[in-house]
Amino acid sequence: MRRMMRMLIMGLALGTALSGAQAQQPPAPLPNPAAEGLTGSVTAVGDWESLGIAIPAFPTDQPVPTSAEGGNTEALGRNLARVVYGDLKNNGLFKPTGPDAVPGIGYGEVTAPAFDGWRARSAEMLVQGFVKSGADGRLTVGCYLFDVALGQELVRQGYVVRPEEWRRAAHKCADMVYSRLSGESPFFDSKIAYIAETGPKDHRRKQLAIMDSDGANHRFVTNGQATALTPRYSPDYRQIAYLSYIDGRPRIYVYDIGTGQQKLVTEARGPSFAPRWSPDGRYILYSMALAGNTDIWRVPATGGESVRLTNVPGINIGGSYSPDGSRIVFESDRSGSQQVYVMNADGSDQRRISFFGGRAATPEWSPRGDQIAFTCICGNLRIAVMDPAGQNMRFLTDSWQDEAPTWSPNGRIIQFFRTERGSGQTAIWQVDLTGRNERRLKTPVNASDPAWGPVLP
Amino acid sequence: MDMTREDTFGLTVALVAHGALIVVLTLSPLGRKVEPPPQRMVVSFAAQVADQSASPKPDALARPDLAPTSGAPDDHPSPAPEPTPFARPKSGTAPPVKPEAEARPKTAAKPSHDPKPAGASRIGKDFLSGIAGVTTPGTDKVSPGDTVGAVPVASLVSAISRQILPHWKPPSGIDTDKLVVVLAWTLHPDGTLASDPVIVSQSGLTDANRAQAPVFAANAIKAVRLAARPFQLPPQAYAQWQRVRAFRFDYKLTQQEKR
Repeated sequence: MRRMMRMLIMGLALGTALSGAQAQQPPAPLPNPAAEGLTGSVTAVGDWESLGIAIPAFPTDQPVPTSAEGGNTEALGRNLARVVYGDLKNNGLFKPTGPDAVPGIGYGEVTAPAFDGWRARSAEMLVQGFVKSGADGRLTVGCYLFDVALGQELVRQGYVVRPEEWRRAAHKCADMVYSRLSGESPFFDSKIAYIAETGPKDHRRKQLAIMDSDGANHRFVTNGQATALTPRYSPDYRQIAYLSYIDGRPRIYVYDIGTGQQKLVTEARGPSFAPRWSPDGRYILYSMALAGNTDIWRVPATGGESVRLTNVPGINIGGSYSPDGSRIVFESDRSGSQQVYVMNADGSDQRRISFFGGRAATPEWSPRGDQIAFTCICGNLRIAVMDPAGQNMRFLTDSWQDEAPTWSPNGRIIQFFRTERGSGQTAIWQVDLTGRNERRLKTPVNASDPAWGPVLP
Repeated sequence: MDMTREDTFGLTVALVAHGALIVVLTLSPLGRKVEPPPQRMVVSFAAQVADQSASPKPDALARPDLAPTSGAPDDHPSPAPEPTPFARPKSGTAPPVKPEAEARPKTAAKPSHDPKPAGASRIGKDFLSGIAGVTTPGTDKVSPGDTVGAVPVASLVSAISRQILPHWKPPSGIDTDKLVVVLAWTLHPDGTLASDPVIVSQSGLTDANRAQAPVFAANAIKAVRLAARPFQLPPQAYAQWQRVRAFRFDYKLTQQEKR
């Protein structure tokens, strides 16, 4: 992270008006009238300076065996701190130091840190926690955030989890730290669905896969016999809607994660694609090509009658609900080239919002409602955002081919997939809304079409 | 096609003129220096122009005037101000000093300097005995005034700003450079906080930065707390910095960081 450059801009100075009589004895502390006093200003200039955060291993009151990773609670405490460290390390805002680089702490020290020692290590923030195993095998994890400079506790949380869910406790702890220090909503305790790609370029095998937001708990969902595309988590995480070429026909299926069953959403008359859930999970939007025209349809998630929302010559595709479910942003070429349009949820009042050079595809409404992300076809394919009125367009990435943005649950980070020029290798990347913090997600194989689900309850 | 004499002459003139023009255009940039871009500097604004006499030390005791010398050369160059052409009456309305306490004989401002009243000085020998009512000789080099001047107040603000800046870390995010928070606080004479900083106002909120606004304000308050450990400010001006009524905290991205 670049060092923060700071410049001082002096503000206006308004003198305290002392009367001539008072001036006879200026050193005396004169009570100023309430309206008086100094005014001035201070301006920080430059980049965000990464906050140094120390994360020692979480101690335990007594090491007892647990089925969570590590075997006993003492080793688990170290693993918990490592997960918190990994989460905070990877978003560009913080400069954490993990349990492998700082000394351990005693159990009694968790709520009363030795601030002087941490100051000497130039840590600005300190995350401490503990882990205990209950009689029923459940784990209790405590998480505390301290401001080292001020020497005070900022926030604390505790979680009771099953041993196999121990990573969630660490993600919740990282979420607490992130929220308190950035002001944003949490997002680490969430999952990602994507398409895992293997095999040669002209004969790609595309499987549906899921993983935690940090890449852990990776799992292939489909076996790859039928090509899978464009997955989307249902808001309750129980199901994934995706496009499958079973029997060679592109149709939309809903896969139930708990049971492993999948069902066809609608027996479409033509090829259908680009499924999206409504925020309440009751409807699925999809696009269907009929007689050379593609339009957006809506069908109840439980199955039933489809309703056609667009009816304009050309290709109308995609469709992403605003967080309140009242509007839909979609892509259409009715004006001659692909552009972004907005309509009401019932299909009324369709109007174009993107008016800049180049074409725009795959718009996605932020879960916070303040931004729309899309793929700008402006020479290269680049990820860009604009506000829902189509104003303040900003590019977030500048590579050869970045496409298919999906939002983090808090609407501050965007995942997309990047195709390497020449090799055709694909990988999932993410970038924050400032465009400054970009990183690649680790996946076992090539990856495309990411879909970020909501934060787990 | 034949060219007439006039044609030849005209062509020659045109060629010569073009050549001259090329030479002039080629040579003219020579010797011109590329101006280096100006360096960044800190600018202080004094908001007010005083409508009354102001001084960093309102009760300054001015150094008394020294007798002008003339005639015999002096050992030292005279540090005295402008030679006064006329003697002042002894009763002393001239030097702006405060008549207080009992009288005491006054000595010269600089003992090393021993003016020799040689020559045609019209100031009497009793000049250096001082002015009735002054206890100590004035040594201040500034003029007295009715109030503390605007420049010291600007320096106080500058000092406070400078001490807060290393601790002022606004949160990251889009549109956080649009946020502004104004704080007020009071200080003890030792430079520590007498009251916790309070938010006077906050502005610049957009849909995109609304979530950051509370953190932005909290970080500003933290910056004041960390700077007030304690603020290093001149104790004699405590009356001026005792209360900070409105201090503005903001954040500017440098141009290359705005994409």
